[in-house]
Amino acid sequence: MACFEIKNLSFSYPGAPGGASEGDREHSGAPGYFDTPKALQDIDLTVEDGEYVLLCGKSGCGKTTLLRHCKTVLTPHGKREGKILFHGKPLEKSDQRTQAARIGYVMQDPDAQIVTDKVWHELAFGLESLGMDQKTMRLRVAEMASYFGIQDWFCKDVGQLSGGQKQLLNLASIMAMQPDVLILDEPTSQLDPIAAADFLNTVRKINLELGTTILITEHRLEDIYHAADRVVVMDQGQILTDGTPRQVCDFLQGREHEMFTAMPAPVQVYYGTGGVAVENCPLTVREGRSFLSGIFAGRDPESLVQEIEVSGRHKSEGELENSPLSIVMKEVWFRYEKDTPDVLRGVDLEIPQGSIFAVVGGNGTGKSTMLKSVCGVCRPYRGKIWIEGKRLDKYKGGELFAGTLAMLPQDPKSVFVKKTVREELLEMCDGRAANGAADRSAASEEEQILKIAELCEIDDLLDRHPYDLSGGEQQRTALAKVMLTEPKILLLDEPTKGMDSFFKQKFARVLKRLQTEGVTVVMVSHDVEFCARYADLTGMFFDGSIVTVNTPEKFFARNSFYTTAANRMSRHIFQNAVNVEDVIELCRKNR
Amino acid sequence: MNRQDAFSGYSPQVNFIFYIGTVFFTVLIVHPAFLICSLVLAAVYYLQVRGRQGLRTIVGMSPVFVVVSAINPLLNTGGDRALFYLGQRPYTLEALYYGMALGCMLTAVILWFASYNRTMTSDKFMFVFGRKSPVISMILTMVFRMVPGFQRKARQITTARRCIGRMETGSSLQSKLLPSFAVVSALTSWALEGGVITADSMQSRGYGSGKRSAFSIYSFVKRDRLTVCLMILLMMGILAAVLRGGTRASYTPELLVSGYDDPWLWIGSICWFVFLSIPVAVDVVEEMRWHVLRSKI
Repeated sequence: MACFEIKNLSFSYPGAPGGASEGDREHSGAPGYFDTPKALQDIDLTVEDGEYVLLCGKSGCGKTTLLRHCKTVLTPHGKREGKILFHGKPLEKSDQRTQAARIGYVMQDPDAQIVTDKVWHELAFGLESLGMDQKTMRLRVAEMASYFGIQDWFCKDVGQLSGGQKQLLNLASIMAMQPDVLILDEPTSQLDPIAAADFLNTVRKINLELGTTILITEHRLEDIYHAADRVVVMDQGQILTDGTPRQVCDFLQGREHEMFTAMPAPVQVYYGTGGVAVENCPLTVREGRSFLSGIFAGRDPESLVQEIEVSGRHKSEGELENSPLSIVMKEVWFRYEKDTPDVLRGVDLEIPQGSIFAVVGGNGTGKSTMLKSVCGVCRPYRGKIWIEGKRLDKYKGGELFAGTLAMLPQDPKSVFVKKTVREELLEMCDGRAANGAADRSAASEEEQILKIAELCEIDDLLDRHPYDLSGGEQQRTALAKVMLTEPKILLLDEPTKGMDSFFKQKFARVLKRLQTEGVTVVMVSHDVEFCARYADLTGMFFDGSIVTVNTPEKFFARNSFYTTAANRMSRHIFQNAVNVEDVIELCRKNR
Repeated sequence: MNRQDAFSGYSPQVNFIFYIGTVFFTVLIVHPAFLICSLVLAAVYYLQVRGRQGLRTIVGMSPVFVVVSAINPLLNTGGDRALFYLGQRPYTLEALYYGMALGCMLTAVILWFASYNRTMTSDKFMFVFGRKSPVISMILTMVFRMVPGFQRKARQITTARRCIGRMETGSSLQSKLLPSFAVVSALTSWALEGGVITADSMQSRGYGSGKRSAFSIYSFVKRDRLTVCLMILLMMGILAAVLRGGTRASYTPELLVSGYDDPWLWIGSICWFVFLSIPVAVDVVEEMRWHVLRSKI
């Protein structure tokens, strides 16, 4: 029997004539500014019991709006047509209690979803709301804690958990109510890749072992695409295509749709090298490897062309060696408290001016702390740091942040204080006038803002509230704010967290443009694919220090685990291929 | 060192009754024997909960005792055994004794509260009071979670704004305050935004859909019942001693303290001692049991 049947559903938000759409970050009833007339248009979708359905599409295409319609209390206010049946009955006919128990909904933000202060209490929250008796609750809580491996932190305060643990707790507390269907709205967008993969595996396990129906949206398709039974692609409030993962790839490729660039690397390589048959399309790295082996069967890897055209992609090694150094760290040691272990253990680092420098590494190794020590928030107890040739200690007061260095924090919301994006940007200008750097007239301020807004591609968002923007837009707005201090060095902490692949491309364009203006960019990131594609130099951070620094080609080609999917699927044949394009190019050359 | 002591493992009600009784009688009875009992056992239990580190706190308490004792005769001139005169005012021995009794009481209560903080965590407190009203306990739980959350976020915002040069303070009062106002404003937006999500998450999990029940991980078992009975008996004993005048003590203007010839003093103070030793005894017995179990293997 069908779990959900959505028939002919159309929806528009109130507040704009003819209806409106906002997209992923919309909350019920929040007014906004709108581009398309309808948030959802003629949606027909059936989700069978026990199915694993992946819903994907660009940010703002209406995914979240659609998911919120699947639960009455979360349904946004607005004009709605069509109907939604839940197990054959109209959804509104089941009361809140039934829906709470049978439809589980996990949201993006791991922290704000949690209600109580103790892990054990959070697990029981839903059960308490349903008025269950103590005995049943004990059993359910015990079951869930064991199933999700929460026993070790069962008695902890919620504040002590990592982001991944928090999201797992949200999932567990919903599963304790034993829902028939689990709806997940970009659950991993705030998590690092390892925690995200862990979370998605748990979701997969729930689907396989308990038969719970899963309806999930994700922008990190690599980990999840192959696991889905069905993929639904949305575009501008409509369903573009609906089918098995392989059919969807074929469809998108045939249409040359931009969503195709978000597909997993093996898929892109397959179609890039002229693959045709739908059923042979590799979805995982393992399938990708055997696909490549098949192409080059019987050929000696030694005889293959291995050279890739890399010039122009980023600054050459020679160019980097000759440029003066922007940041120098020598033997930097740091710990947070006198009797806690060292976080930085002798960091040695030299970053050339005008480069994009990426630092990758596991969670909690001290990458963010390193950035904080560069901008003087964490003072090292041993070692020296030079910024633009001057000792860090010699910068007095706010001198460092007035035109030399600026940092974009992990959570872009931390820098927002005003009602509109324009005011946010203006705020940065008066500061400079007050600092006495320059007296600017209102007109030139406006000009300045427009220039930066254009550079960061947010010029059409100037009148929106910063909190109404999507994650990627917030990130670029924060970047624009930071850029108005006109820094020579820009530090970025996990800049691509929560961005979909299109926003990443936009963001990368912005970074490249800044680079041409002579800005040095240092970023700390988990996003291996992004670093491989856009950085000039990449460093690996491990156990409190930088282990190795190299150009992305050399760096990722030598790693076997910490590297891109394209490299992992092709490394048994090609030595230097890091990106999808490299693999495709080499395949063509060797045909 | 944070060792889990055996008494904390008892039901929160047991812990709570113990602390209510302890503080009540410590403040009520000013007889020196009772006060010394209370102080000594408070210190022993605190050491048991905190380990070596606790010693520093206890030593740190001694100035409180000394100051309170020494100040009382300055304010209170009752009594006729003057030790010396400050101008016209006598500094009497009775008042000094009284001061010592007060100092003893104050230090004992502070030490009891110090161990209370370790034993009665917020969720235990909630458990004692929350079962009558799940809604109030729910609100308190959320507050307990939000306060540290705000602090963390405020720090994060301050750092973020400092790194884009927005926390610079000028010389005027206005320019000193402005950056902090901006932080508060950002914090408010963040909290409102988070509040919307939290509300959605609560509703989506059935909050407000009908009667709520309250879950707890604590249970009330036989040993808790026995301990409560014992505590009530002992408290009745102490109360009887109080009513019979066995705990009578007055310091000024004349020193009148019931002596060892009064049988009610003996009954009262033995009950008191046994009552206060419950946490320590429970812990020691547990320790010994482990010792025996281990040596058998």
